[in-house]
Amino acid sequence: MSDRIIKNYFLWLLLGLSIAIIFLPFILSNDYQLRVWMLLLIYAVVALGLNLVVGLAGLVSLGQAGLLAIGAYTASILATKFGFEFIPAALAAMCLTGFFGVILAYPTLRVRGVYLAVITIAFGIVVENIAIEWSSVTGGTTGISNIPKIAFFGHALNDVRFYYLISFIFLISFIIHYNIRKSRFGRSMRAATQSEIAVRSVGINPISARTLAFTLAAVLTGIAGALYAYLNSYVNPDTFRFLDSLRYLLMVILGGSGTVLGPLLGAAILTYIPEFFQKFGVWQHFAYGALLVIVIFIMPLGIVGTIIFWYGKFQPKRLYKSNQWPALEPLVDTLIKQPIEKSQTCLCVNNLTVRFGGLVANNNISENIQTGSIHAIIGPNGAGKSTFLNCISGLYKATDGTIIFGNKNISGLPMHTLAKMGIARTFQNTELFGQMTVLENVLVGFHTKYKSGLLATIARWPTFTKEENHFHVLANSLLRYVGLDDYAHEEARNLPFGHQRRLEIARALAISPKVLLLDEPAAGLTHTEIEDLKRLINSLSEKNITIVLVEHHVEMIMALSNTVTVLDYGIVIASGAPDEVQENPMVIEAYFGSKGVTNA
Amino acid sequence: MHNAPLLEVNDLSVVYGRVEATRDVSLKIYPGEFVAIIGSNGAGKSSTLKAIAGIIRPSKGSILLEGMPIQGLPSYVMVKKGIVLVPEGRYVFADQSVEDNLKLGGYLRDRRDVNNGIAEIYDLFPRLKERKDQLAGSLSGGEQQMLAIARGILAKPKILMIDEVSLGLAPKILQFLFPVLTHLNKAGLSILLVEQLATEALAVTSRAYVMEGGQVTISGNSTDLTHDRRVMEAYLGKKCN
Repeated sequence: MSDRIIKNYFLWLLLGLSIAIIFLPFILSNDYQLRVWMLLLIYAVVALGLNLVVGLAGLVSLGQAGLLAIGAYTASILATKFGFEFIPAALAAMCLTGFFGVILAYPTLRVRGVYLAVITIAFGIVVENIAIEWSSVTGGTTGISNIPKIAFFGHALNDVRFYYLISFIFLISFIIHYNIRKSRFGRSMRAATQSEIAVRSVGINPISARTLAFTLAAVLTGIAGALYAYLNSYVNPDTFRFLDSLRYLLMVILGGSGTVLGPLLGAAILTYIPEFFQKFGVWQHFAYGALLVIVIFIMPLGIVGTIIFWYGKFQPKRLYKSNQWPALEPLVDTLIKQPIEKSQTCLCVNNLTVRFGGLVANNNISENIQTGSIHAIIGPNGAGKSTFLNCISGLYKATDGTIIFGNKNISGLPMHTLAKMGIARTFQNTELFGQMTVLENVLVGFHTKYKSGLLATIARWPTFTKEENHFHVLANSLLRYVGLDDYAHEEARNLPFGHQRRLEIARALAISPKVLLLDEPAAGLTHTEIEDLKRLINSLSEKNITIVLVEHHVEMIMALSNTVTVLDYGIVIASGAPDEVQENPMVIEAYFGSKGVTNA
Repeated sequence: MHNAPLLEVNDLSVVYGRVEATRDVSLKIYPGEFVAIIGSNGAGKSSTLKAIAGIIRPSKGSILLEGMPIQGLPSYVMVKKGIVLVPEGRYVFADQSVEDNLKLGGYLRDRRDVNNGIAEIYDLFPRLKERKDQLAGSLSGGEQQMLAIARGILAKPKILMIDEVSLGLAPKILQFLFPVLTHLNKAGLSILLVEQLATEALAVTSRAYVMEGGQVTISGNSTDLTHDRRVMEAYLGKKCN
């Protein structure tokens, strides 16, 4: 229901913008004003692209002017020296900037934050200097002039028609930007900034999400660059400097990064205000700077972000109710039920050793985990239980030893690959996407199951809509299964700790795992809640999901597990049926303490 | 037996986004008491502690320390006034040594007092002394919990609030930690404990509040609560016959 309202709001917005754009030329009194509007829309396209990088993927790029320059120069050179028409020239510009977008995303393999910002600044400076020095191609400091007017079928476009062309491209960019934002791609970008290991745990490679953001931004900047060159009919290096990159970033931040309208508003303000401030003469830069400082200081979320924040503040408050879990959900049953495997052993760990510097966290561990069993790992704090789990799930790389899953050697494979193979997990300190809604958290879990690609998503193809609705239904069903349906549209960080654990389990189940690794799922739960958790784990086990459980609640482990492995100082000190292990004197000494099991 | 309460909370409400975490919570702690808040997840226990500690601003209600209203003050002022929280999940300063963590606990106090305090802490937790030069992040979960409690004590609180002592700890560590808390209380420290393990919490405290759905539903002597039918069924995992 609320989804439909949101969709409608975007259509209304689009209609309003289109009408405003169509009638604008009739209101304006001279060509100069029209030109400012054309510039504004071109900048808005750059800002929309950058918003994918900053607002969704959470990365800072201060090199957009460099990309804009590549787009502008490519189009101008092709038009002046090779006689290209506008469309092929613009397409070539988009391809080339897209390629540079991929290159710009490459450093995110290693660096983020300030370091990435520095690399993008360097990129911008390099591009600017190439434009100056490579004068045989770029015309050096004087640049390239006499770029022909855009013509279709031999007719050159007049100013108003050119304005409509720019507006059309702007509206397309605006739709692409919105459609990416409201899709699995946008969700994976947002999720990757909030918890990198959590996106990997559901099979998403965060690097791909970031590369996509950078590339789309670069392609949009490429077409903006081509339009810019045709609008001015000349290009030179002066308009592609570091300060220009900074201005594009400010457009996004000032308008409200991550919001739909923010980049447009930011572009409008930062294009129009300097025009307006011209009457202040020498004081204009001062006034401009002061305005920015004041606005950003008062509204760190940007203008649109702040409005949304205050709107949320005045929404009615209520007490949410958490429902009984696990609830009966036939849809979930079909989603997560695994076929019965022929092989007895699900995971076979041989001589696993993990060293951190001098510390041996896991020392020569060999264990078989039976298919469909509940296998508990217990031991004192610091015994290496979580390390063991992190190795199986691919978060850590073992120093030595092999792990066989099914009949494949999976040692050393990254976590997102293992997640795709069917190894899901939860985390000791819960890793959720805190600023996304509870429903979105589960939807991110479904990411790798989507079949519709980027084009179908951008174009809102019927297959995409059908698929999106399908996974919404499944996600809601998973939320009912863990009793969190009432919280569906609340941000995950507002959930109490125990509910965050349930949400993490729901997200892990979204990938239909063969194996589920649970790292202390009962920590922080009351007796009643532990009873619920026990029922859940049993019901998962009935669906042939193999469960590996790291836990301290002895009573729960004894009631649930088929096999218990006890670790102490990274070594297996006992392994076997729960009652055998419970009576093992070494285990009593190391784990239960002098008072023995009775206390637990 | 007591005259004026040390800490008095009246009609406290806390809101996150659109989620109302607590509604009209009232509680009292008298000097030298050891009090528990028990209840299920989402009952509002942690939110109550965070509001008292000044980490979140209550949307409504008053908090009085020795009769003086303190609600809405920032957390560093609360520490100065003697309200100290040992947070859920411990939050030790992972990249600093154990001893530096302890010194930071006594940040607002005279250095000589803190050094004496640290010596006392090492008597109480010999494990921390053994590891005083180690980075706090390399400690095991149990040792980190000791460190978090010790860091809280070094701020010399009038009241120490502990959120989830037992979180992720092995039984053997708990057998050590709960008696230490009792010892600290006997030595005069007032403690407000939030704990999921209701059995353990009721065994060490003298009084307790039970929270459900953001409100206090039951309160009384811990021993009485242990025999309360509602508490037994919901929180102690016992069936009543």
